[in-house]
Amino acid sequence: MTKILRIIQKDLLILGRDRAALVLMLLAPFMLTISMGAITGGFDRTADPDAPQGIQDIPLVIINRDEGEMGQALVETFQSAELAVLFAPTLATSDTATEAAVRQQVNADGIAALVLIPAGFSEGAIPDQETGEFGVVNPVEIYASLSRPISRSVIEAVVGEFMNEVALNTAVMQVTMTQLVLSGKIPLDEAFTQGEVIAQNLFGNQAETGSETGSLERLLTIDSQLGSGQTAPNFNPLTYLAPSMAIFFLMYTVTVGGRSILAEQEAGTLDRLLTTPATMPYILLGKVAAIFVSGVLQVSVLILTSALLFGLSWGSPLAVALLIFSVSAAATAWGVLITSLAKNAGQVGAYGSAVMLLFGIVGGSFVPVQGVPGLSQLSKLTPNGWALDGFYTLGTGGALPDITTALLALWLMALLVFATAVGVYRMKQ
Amino acid sequence: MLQALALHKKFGSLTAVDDVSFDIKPGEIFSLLGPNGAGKTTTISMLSCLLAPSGGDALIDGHSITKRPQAVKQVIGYVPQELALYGTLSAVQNLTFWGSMYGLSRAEMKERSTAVLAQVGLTDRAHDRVNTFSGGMKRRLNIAVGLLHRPRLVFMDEPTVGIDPQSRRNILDMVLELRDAGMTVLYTTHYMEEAQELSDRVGIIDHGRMIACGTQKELTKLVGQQDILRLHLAELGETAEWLTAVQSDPAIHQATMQDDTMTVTVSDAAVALPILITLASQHDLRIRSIDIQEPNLESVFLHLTGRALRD
Repeated sequence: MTKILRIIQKDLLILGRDRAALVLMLLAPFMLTISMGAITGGFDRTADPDAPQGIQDIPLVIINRDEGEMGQALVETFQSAELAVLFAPTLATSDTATEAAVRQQVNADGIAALVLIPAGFSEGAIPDQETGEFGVVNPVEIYASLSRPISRSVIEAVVGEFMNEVALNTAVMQVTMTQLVLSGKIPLDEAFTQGEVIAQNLFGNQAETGSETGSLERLLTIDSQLGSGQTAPNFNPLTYLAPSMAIFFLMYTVTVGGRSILAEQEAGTLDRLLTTPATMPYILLGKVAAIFVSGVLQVSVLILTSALLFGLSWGSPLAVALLIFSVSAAATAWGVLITSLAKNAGQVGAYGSAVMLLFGIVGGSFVPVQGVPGLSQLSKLTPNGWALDGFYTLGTGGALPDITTALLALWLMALLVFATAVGVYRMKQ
Repeated sequence: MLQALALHKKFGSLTAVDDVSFDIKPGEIFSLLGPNGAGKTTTISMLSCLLAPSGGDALIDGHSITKRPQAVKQVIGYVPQELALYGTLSAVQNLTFWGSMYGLSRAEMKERSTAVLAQVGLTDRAHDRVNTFSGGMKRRLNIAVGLLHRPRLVFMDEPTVGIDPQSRRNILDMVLELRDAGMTVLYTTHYMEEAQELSDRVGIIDHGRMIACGTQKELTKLVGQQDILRLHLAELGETAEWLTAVQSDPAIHQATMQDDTMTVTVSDAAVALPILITLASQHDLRIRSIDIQEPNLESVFLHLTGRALRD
């Protein structure tokens, strides 16, 4: 037992002096978590759990040259309470000097975009009262900063959705009124007046009753839809990102550990170990235990850091510890299998990198795969898939009983993969 | 101390060690001398319980290497040809780790680490990382690891390969000191000079077979009263034809050619020299210098195999 502990101690010491490995084990996942957390707004949630998340307060200027209802409706859409988080719109005067100044502001990246609603915008969207004909279509112009592609996409989505809504409502009203006139329910000369009343009843009431969401809800889903369509209460993206990066790089750690087994063989230290009273099973057990311990330490440090620095709550420490042990065991087994398949230390590195990437993608370390047909099932073949399920559950208020399946699955995976590795190793002897 | 009993090792169809038998008495330095690929390392690997013999056995301090390898491992120290050390650990950390593999207690480890570091002259570098050491220092630490647990029998597998003359000298002196301290040493080398300087007895191994074994005196007797002549040519020419002519002369026992040097074994140098010079002249070859040597392990190897050790 002492010999196993000494091998673990020695391997950890060697690992601790490998700067490149430490960077990839600890710094890289930490930095990636911070970067992705910043993009997804996780840090705002860290400061205030009820704070909005994601992209917000996009600075934009609206110039409305339309004198009709549609231009005003679009302005009100951008100024609506539902989109208040997303946009910080300013309404500017419609003179050309102001327009030029705003364009310069966009060019200088002072604001994200100019939304220019042209004169006659409403006439192009609403049919003429007398003839029922549409006027010349004057499209809304979005003049956006090149350096803010995401902001531009969001603004385009809002304007596009607004226009779809207008087109849909107009089409509905046209069909309705045509049917009413053709069936003789209303006379042709009253069609427009009646149409306004019907439209008011149909769409106006929605606005009055707060169901303005009828048109805006779809715009708001940009921010609020998560996963299966339910809005997760107080969900912080870091709850997913921190463990996903930790587990992604855990595969690197176990590869480094596996590589050290073959490196000992190549350097002659394994042979020398075998001339001591330490036997091969003890030596291998020590090496595998060292991989496991380094994995546990790595994930523990990253999860603890995420709790201390980002204010994430992982719930029961026992549940977190069990999950860390389980995922480290499963990852260690994969590391040993990779090692048993490789012919030399270099091959372990190559195979390990490929498996790390594959597991990262399939297991959902980069993008959640729950609900994605095929990937969702495949992710369960990776330690990443089960562990992320477990961490997500714990990070969103779950307890130990809620992650029992994940824990059992990880240990079962560890046993099966390790047994396969032993089989491969014996075949090669 | 050690008895090798018809040790045999095959790798597929290749016979690496072919029924090698010898014995080593307590407190002596026994050298296995042979060219590269002769089977020295395979022999030492079997004796260290690293490789299982395909046949035969060996007794070390009365323990069979095939039946009681754990008991054997307690007795032996192993200094491999490679630098089997952890480069990112310090000398002391290496020694502590290897000591723990031999089951030394913390106090023993400290005492022995200090002692072996002093023995190999690395006390002042004890806490430096091994990958900052020179090649010679690494070699010395490699030896120190093998001595850490006070083994009664040390296997040293070509411990001077690839180092500078000064470090080599240090290591040879150290091996002699070990013998003086009562330790038994099995030393493998392909350098005749090392075997000659260190060994109480020598086993000459070639193509996996022990072709001669004994003290240097006993071995040189095999050659008889023969002289070895080395003829260095001023320039290369018809050397193949010259060699054929020399080999076919009845006054010459053996002759080999390597680069610009012909090595010749003769009964009487005074008779042979004029013949060799005449033959060289007939083949338009000019001799730059001639050395005459007393019989030594090189001449024994040449006598037994018809080849020089370096061939």
